[in-house]
Amino acid sequence: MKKKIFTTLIILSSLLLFFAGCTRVGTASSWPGYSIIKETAYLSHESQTFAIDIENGIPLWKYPSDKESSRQVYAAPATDDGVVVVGDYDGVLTALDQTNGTKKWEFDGANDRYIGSVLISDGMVYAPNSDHYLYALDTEGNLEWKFEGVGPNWTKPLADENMIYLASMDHNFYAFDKEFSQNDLVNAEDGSKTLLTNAKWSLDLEMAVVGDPVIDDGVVYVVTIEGRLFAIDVKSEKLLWSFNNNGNLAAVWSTPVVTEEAIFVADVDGNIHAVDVLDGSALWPSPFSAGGKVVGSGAAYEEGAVFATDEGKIFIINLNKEPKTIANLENPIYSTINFIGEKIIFAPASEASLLTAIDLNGFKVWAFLPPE
Amino acid sequence: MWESLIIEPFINALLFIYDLIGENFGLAIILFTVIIKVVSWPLMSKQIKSSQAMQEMQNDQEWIDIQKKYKNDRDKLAQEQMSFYKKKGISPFASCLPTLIQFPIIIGLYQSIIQTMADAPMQMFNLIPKILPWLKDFFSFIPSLQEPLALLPLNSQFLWMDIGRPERVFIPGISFGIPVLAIIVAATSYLQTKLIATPSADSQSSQMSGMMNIYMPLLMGWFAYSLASGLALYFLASNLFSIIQYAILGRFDFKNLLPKKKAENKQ
Repeated sequence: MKKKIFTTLIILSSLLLFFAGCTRVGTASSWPGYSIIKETAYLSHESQTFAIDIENGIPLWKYPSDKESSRQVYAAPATDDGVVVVGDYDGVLTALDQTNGTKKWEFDGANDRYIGSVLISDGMVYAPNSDHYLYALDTEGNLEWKFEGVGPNWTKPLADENMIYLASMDHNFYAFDKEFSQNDLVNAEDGSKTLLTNAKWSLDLEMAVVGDPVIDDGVVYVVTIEGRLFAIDVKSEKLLWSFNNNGNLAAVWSTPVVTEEAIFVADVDGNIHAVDVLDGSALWPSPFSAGGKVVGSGAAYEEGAVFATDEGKIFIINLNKEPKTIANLENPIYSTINFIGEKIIFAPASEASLLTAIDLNGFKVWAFLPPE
Repeated sequence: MWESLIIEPFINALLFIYDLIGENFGLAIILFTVIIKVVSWPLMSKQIKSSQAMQEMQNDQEWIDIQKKYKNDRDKLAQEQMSFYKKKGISPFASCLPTLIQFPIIIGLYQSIIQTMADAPMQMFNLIPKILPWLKDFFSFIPSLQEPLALLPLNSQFLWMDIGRPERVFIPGISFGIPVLAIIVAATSYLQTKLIATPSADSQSSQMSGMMNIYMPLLMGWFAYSLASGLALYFLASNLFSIIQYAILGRFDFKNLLPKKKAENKQ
């Protein structure tokens, strides 16, 4: 009997520990987020943000200096006016000095995770949060206004001269005036007069958006998890066209690559679709199969685009649907691909490197891994 | 195999219920737990009856005598034990087998709840391919059903809690949050183990059972405290259903809740 109770106890404990181990709640993960401004890459991974010289992969600074087990930060940092702003999974937005990574200010007014990147535009910081709010702060970290949608916000906002745009997981595409009257604000729950009740206009996309949209020549291109590309004319506030290739476009996580001739959209089934900029029609009779899932955003390259797959393949595809494989790496690539000079930069899901640069022949130029 | 046989059907069933009841994920978890419990009722009943018989055997004077008689001969004791099982019509595997069959279901239910609550990019990325878009066509006779993908992201608010986060109730004047759900989970776990416990004649076994009665509720309470409240809801629904199930099967002993008299203990 005693043995049986002991055995039961051990089985139950193991089972519960297994439950605890297999849960992803609280230990949520993502892939490294990074952005490149001039000669520097700013990368967030686990608890730290790094500034890396993209010429040689040498780290310039990191924040915080030591890993913090409780902190998780994966959103790509945004940079402008000497500050680097990044949000973490605890809902804290931190502004760092661009030159040395010291903390300048912190905003902890959000209640959930920052998954999407922050946008800095015209002296304002626009921070989308999973708590359904878009926060607008000045560059000193003071809250100017906030807008509450009906779902989490995971994508980076966009800006043009007069407007801010946000594609939300609540299925809506919102447009906000950069300038607005104080009459547009009402008292928020905390008593402050910061709550913006309505967007200037919005469109219902009927599905959640997780991939960052892109704006080009007054048209926003936004993709949904259902697998549909929308072209929205922001001047007329109208949908120009939508594309799903007769249902053959799968869920899209990446930002569409817009060139003069075409828009390249990569889906999680690993298919690359070329779409006519003017009317949203398919330029190829069938999509190009990359052989692995494409999650990270690609980059324009000459008349085509460069993409990476979760099987570690990096390739260029041109408008004639002619592929050229650059590299077949061991690790999956979920991050954005950047094409800078003669280097392709990406953040592989690898223990050996957080950020890697290769040349057009697929040879490694440098690999950044923070020293322990 | 595991994903396609257990996790994917469970995730889609959860989403189906979520859609059907008006996008309430907390209620969907509770309902799905109840459905799983109802489906596994025959197995559970068999297990309860068998384990009850096994527990009662521990107090059987004949068995106690056999144990005493052959305490130094393990092989003979094992032989006598099997004979005793046969004589009393007890099948030792009848209490293990249903548990073994239920384990994948319980683990699958747990994992599918976690995966459906996808609240970070990697989780959402893994969730989307598991959603079956044809489900809407299959259930086309229910006109109110939405496209399964359009249900994402799920509404994580249920009563006062966020299903994806550990639950706390903040009371003005108190600087910390009170884990009400974790306390209820621990309490119902304790209630469950106490109500179904059969007193053992063996003092060592009784001591071990007593330890387990404390250890398990505390452990369950700790997990409810530290994990997402959606999982705590699942623990709670599961506990309450088990209590009801034991009550229906007449396996309750309310006397277990009362403090035992010292005289009884001495006996």
